[in-house]
Amino acid sequence: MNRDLTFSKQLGVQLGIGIQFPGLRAYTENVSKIPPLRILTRPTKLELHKYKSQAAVNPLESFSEDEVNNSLSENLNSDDNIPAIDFENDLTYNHWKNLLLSKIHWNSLDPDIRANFHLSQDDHQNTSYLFDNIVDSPNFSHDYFPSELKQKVLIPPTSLKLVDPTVGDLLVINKAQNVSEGRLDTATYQLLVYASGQSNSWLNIAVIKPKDSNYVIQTPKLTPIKEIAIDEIFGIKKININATIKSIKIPTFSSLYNKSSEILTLLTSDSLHILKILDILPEYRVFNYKIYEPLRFNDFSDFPIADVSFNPWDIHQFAIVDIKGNWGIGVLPKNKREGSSIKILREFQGTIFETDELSNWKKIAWSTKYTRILVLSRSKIVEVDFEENWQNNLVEAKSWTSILDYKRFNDSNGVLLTSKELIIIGPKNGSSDLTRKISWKHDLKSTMGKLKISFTRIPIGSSELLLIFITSNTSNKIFCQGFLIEGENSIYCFTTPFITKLEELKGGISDIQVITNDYREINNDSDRNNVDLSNELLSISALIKNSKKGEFYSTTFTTIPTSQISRKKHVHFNPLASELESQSEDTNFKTMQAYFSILKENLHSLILSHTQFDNNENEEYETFQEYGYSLSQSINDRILDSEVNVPHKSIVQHILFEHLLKFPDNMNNLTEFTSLFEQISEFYTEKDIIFSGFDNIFDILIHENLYDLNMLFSKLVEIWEPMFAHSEYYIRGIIFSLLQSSMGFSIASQIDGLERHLRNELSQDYNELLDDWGRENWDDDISTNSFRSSIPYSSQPQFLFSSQTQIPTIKSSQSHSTRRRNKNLPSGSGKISKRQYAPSSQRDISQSSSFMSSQPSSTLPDTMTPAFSLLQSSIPTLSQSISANRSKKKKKKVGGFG
Amino acid sequence: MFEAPLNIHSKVLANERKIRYQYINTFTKRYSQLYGDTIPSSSLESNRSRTPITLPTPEASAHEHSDSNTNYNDDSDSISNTNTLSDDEYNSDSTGTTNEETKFFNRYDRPQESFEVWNTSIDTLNSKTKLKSNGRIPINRNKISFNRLNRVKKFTNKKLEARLQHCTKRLKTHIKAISEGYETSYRDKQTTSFNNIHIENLINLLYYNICEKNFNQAYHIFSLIIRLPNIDIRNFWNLGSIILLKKVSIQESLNFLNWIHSIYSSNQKYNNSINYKTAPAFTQSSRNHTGKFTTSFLWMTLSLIHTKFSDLTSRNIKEIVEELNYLKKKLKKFVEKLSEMVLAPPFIEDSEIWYIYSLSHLILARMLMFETRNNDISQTSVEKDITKNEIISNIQHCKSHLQKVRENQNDYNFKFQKIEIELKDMEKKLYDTSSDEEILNEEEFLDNEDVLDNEENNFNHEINFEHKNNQLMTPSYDEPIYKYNLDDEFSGQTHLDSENEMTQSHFESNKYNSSSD
Repeated sequence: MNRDLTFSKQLGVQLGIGIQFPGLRAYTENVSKIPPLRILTRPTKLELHKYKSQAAVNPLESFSEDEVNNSLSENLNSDDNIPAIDFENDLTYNHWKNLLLSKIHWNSLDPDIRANFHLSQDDHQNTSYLFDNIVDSPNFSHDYFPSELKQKVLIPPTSLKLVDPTVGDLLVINKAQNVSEGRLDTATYQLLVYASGQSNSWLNIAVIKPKDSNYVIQTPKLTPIKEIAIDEIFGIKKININATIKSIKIPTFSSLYNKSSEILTLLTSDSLHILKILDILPEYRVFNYKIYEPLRFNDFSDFPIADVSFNPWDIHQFAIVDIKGNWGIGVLPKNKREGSSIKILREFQGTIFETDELSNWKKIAWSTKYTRILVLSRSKIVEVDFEENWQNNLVEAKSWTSILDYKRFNDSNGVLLTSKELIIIGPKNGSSDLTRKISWKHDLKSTMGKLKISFTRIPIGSSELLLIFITSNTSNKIFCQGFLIEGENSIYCFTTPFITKLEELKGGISDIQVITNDYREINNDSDRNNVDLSNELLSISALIKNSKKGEFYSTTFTTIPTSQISRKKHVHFNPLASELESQSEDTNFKTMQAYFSILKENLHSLILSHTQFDNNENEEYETFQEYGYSLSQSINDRILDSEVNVPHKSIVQHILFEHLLKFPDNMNNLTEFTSLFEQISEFYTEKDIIFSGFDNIFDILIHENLYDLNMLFSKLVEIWEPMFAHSEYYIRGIIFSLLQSSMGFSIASQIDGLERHLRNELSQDYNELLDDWGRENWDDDISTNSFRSSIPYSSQPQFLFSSQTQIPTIKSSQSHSTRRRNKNLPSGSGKISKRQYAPSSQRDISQSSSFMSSQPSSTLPDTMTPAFSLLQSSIPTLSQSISANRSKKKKKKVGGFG
Repeated sequence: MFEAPLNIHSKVLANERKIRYQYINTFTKRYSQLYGDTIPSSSLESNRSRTPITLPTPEASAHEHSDSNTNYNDDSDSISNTNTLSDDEYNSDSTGTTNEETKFFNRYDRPQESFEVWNTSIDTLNSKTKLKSNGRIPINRNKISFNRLNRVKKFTNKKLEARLQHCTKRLKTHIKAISEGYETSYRDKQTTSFNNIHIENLINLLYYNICEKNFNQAYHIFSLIIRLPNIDIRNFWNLGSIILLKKVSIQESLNFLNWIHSIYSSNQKYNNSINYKTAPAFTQSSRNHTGKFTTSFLWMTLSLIHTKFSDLTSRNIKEIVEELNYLKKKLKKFVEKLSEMVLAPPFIEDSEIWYIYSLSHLILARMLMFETRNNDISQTSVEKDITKNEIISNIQHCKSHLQKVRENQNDYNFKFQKIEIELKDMEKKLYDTSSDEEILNEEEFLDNEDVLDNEENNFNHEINFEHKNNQLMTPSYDEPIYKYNLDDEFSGQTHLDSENEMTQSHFESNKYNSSSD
């Protein structure tokens, strides 16, 4: 180990970009470093307040989850009028709830049952659904004042923006468990706690269960590394605090105890609330807790409480500090009486008040020892030993900098953010006195708004990588600096930090929290002594709260080059293609090439396994038999299922084969597969099942109509044969994985149902419009003139949207294969098909233009009229000429088909 | 996003500062009038004299102590001659009224080594001197109450009312907000001049490109920025250094640092009373503060030579004679430069410089040693004697410089013992040349090591451990001390080095080790 570093004992090592560290160290020119963290998945907006009801998610249903998930709107006067249901029996309660949730599919148009539909356990209160909230809210006696209103009052009409420095973290992820779980060391849950609502007065509790994501990261050695998607967030509780939440904390206890917190603290502007977790059962959406009598600020001092911190070595002890710097030590009551109150110990109190410190920002944190705390203000850090009765001005930042944030990251060390530097503070060797260990000059602008830090620790071998994120509430950039902590005393520091910009976020970042997980298990052999970060593949999932609108985003950062990422299990076309598209030109061909080049790498192992199988004909025959049999069986099941268990009318399910059944590994014969598919599709066409045929798939993929897989195969062989050996195996593998992810079927009756349903919902006027739509010319007008069609309908309610998107799909299938249309479409859609052949395009135009001119005044909102008047004046002439041209072409075409 | 190397002189900001400090001063004054004894910040005065910024050996600290005291007394004199000293100080308005900001800062230290005053207790070292306590005072238990605060606040508000009447609305709001404990941020851009916006954009681009390791681009941007007016290169010399290092060559980077060092090294007295706008920690040097660019330059040069030398030892002797001579020449030049530097402040009192000085002698001695012990490099007996003498003189120099380091400041984490062990070892090797004896000596040496005091034992433990895991450890070029290492180097078992280099190279890191003592 390199122990010859020279550094000031008082100041530690002071570093920055390009600042040479003291000490003789080998200078190596071709230094490879940790590759920069890049964004793997762009931030996606999370509808955190839309609770995902786990029971309602059926993995076989291919419609998007948003349709399943029901929005839990926060306005209380939503139009739900669910009758009260009495379930006196507690045991059956969960059962019934789950049953209800699993059976009901709903969308936002219907009178909805919220996903967190909560049958009150109190018999006398369960008369209304609204009591849900009342039951959950503890008895806080204070009114709340919406923060928006407050801001309007507070913000003067100048360019100054006032920031309340006492607002801390409003999005917290930390591990938690209840007492008995802690004792037995059974389950820990990663709790996500956040504040929401107009005035941040709702406390939301959710459990994150990281699961294997869809991405597999292939290292050069083909060892997959798991990476986490934030798929599984179970909202389990929503509590109304009735006061603006200023900060949320889940304390972390010392690693000695090896247990997670059972405590959750909340600070509001006038009191401190401490919740004790009794039960967490995410599967049943149970979160039982005990809340201590809130500690009012006047129980402690005359000022609001600014921060609270729990003693990592004593679960019952905590420290608070108020906005002027008075601090105190408090204890939780040990008896189990409900509503027992929190005590502040008289003997352990003090102050760090200074007349020249104006800001309300105060922070308190435990230091290196059981009895030592750090009290921070913007210009000072004071270390206090409340047992030994001394205090020491550890840092005095009066002149150049101010202290911005401090976080402990393990039992002894913490990170301090000042307006100039990022400093790691820790104990000296063998003593518990704090010292400044290493600092990094970050050069961030001092006027960048409120800077905050958040960190994550990633174990790498025997050491630990500490990534520190600096975020600002006025900027959507994340500044990340890494430290590698090796053992007790060696800390490395990255020579250059990373900067990531999150374009999707407008405004700034108010909170960023990294989801910790055990995703690095594969590369994680703890025997390694040397750390080679350039080979480490990191990926970090984070939740981000936008500072402006309070929206939540999730994103994944990674150090892995994008070319090494593929979808797991199967090769799914769409997501990857879209990702690649953003990089290369948008021509389909190029995308495909890039796509296949990745496939080539990743399929290697897959294909090798294929080659190991003997192409035993008998075996293959059996495989096909088996597959065909079980496929048809599961299709039958689905059909029956769809008849019995009618999904919502507005949903047309497209079911992929792979969802029904796993493709057998050793299926190699393309001709056989083609014939198998033909047989199946022929058989089922009578039963109103529409399959996505080869022609459709390949039309989309390579713009060619291929009816035979062998044709595709020979085409690909032509291209790839010279490129690598065993190309036929690759190609077969590719074709099968393509088929796997794209072959599927839909049930035609559902389409009818949908159509009927939509039609019923429409008013007379729209129905007329829809009738007209079926006709060729009109239809063409709409689709070619997307400008025109988009304007009037975009502002319309959602059903129109869906009708707009749904109808052309029917139409397209009609024009492509007339045979199918005639057979499949039942009489319900006859209206359309009849109208389709209605003659006289001239009349159509006149009708449509008259429709256009007449409609807006009657049905459309006033705001839309300008757009229409514009259409009226200019567009009709244009469209007339276009449609006239069209009609000529169409006539020919129709004639050809007829 | 990043701080521009500019000093923005905006009247709005200046006014704001003025009123803010006036508010604070009035408040503080009133508070001490009313509750004089209990004012918490009154302790700061004593605090400041108790812990001067540089906390060195007894003499130095005593010197510093008296020095700082006189310093504060002649504040008023020094202000007059500061204009020549630095161009980026805050121009105090000399309109007759006392400057509130100066008043405020007179109460506090403005350190030059760091951005904040750090009172990490280093008392254990200086316990003999008893010059200062460990900074611990009894807990201040006088909690501030609303009544007290409100009384003072009311008074202050009244006092400032007249002053605020002529201010802009924005300033009024600002003062009101901060007096209520809120913080403010500006929504509009503070920089308005086109030039400044341009510079800001360039600086942002520069940082992005460096972070993205796109040094070609960064080179262009840097060359643009330094040609713009009002730019102070002292604020971002570090960026220039890293860009040159990655884009051009180490030598170029060293030349650049050398240039900065020669231009901006100042031995003026640091004046605590000047309101510098930028902190001097990374940007300036003074009579008792060595600029970071200087230390950066010296360490970089030394480590470059050392690394090259270590590389050489792994190669065939015949190939490297020329290179070795070149390195020797270079190092000798470097030593010469250092010998000149340490004649004048601030380097004369900076133990870090002396440490580097002694290390360079050590490396020089090692090089010569390497030469003599390699029979392939043909040397006449006279030449051998000359080199021998040279080695001895280098060792002597090294020792005396180390002594100097000890005399100066004991504030650094230096590894005296390791170096001394190596020196001893070298001396032994010089006088005993037969290989049998050498082995014996080694054994003796080991025994000696075992007899060393506790601390040393601890240290040995580490070394032994290191040796066992030699292949796994990060390389230790700057671990000149341990003789196994040395032997390895000399006997050509340097495959370790190349491996080590690989492991190390993966993490180009700045490494910190907390002291082992």
